[in-house]
Amino acid sequence: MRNKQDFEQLVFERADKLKAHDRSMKIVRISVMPIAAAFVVLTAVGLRGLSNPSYMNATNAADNAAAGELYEYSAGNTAAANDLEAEPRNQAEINAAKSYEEDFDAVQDADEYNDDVGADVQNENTAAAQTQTSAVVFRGQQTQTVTGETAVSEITSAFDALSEPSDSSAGGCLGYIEFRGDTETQYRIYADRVEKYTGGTLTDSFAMTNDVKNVLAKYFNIDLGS
Amino acid sequence: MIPAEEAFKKFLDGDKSAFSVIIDEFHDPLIFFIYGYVKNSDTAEDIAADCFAELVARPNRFSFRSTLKSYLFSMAHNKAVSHIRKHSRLTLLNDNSSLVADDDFAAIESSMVTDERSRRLHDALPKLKDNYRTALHLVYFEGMSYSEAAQAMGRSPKQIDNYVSRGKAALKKILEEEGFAYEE
Repeated sequence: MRNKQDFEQLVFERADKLKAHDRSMKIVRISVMPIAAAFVVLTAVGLRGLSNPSYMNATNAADNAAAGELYEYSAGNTAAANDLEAEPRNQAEINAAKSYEEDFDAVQDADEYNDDVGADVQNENTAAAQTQTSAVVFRGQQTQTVTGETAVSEITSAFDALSEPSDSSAGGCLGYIEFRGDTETQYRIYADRVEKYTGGTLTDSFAMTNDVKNVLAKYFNIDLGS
Repeated sequence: MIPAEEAFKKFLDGDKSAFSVIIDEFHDPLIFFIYGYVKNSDTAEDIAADCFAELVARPNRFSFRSTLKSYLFSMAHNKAVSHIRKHSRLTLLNDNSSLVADDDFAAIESSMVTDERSRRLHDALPKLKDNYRTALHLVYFEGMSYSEAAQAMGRSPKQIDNYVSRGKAALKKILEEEGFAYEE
């Protein structure tokens, strides 16, 4: 065994070795720490990389699903927007329908109006027709009106049958006959001829016929001879 | 003599000579204690030197919450047990020769074993289980409290109480078998 002086020296020598060992271990720890940290990081990255495909797939799937939902949502919004845009058109259609209804009503009104007018016209025509059943002969300042369907029919037939042109212009006008209801038609009566005036203008000239003479004599007391 | 803790504080403050006080106080007791494990004076001295060297090199490990004595004996216990584990095969092979103490250790032993009662106790201790032997050694030869012995062995005071009680019972039986009257 050592004496105490040598023992003390031994103690301090070993203490120095221990300190040196601790320092080297500390240096190693310090120098290893960045490597260890890098290793840990790289390992973590590597492990994540190993599991990356499924992770990425899952992420992509989730992203795709989210994107799909967004797209659907967007599509829904687009559809809703289209509906909103279509709304005015619908309103226009509604307005058009209303307008149609109004037009329909108007048409109906017009029809009814026309019916009414038609009825009126018919009534007027009927009245005119009824008027045609009378013939008025003016002679001088005198007026003679003939009524009755048969009489009017005979008078009208006689004048309608006029067909022969007449170029005679001798003699004065004995009088004229109007057909009320067709006031524009006026026959002026001469001894040898009948002139037709439409709207006050001479439109035709006919040779006097016996039928005209007969009806004039029969219904108007105008004797032109036979 | 100044307390060991005060000497250690001086050493930490830069008074290198103060460590001599610590070595003087614990050199023999540590070697005597370690010898009980390793049964070799050179090895015991070597391990004791390691304990002191560690106190010098790593002073911050001693926190002053225990006595320096219990801290040093704790290191000695751990290092001795570790040495035995590492060299158990070699110890078994040299078992007979290791029981023979050299002259230097005999001097230490004589300084630690001062009376007949201590002699008989010291001779009987190697026959006890390790925990009983260590606990009895720390309590009777080092005069430690159960609490200090517990810190040195890394056990609870209650365990030390049990070790001492069972160790004394075993020691009584051994001494009675050898024809000695056991005294508490």
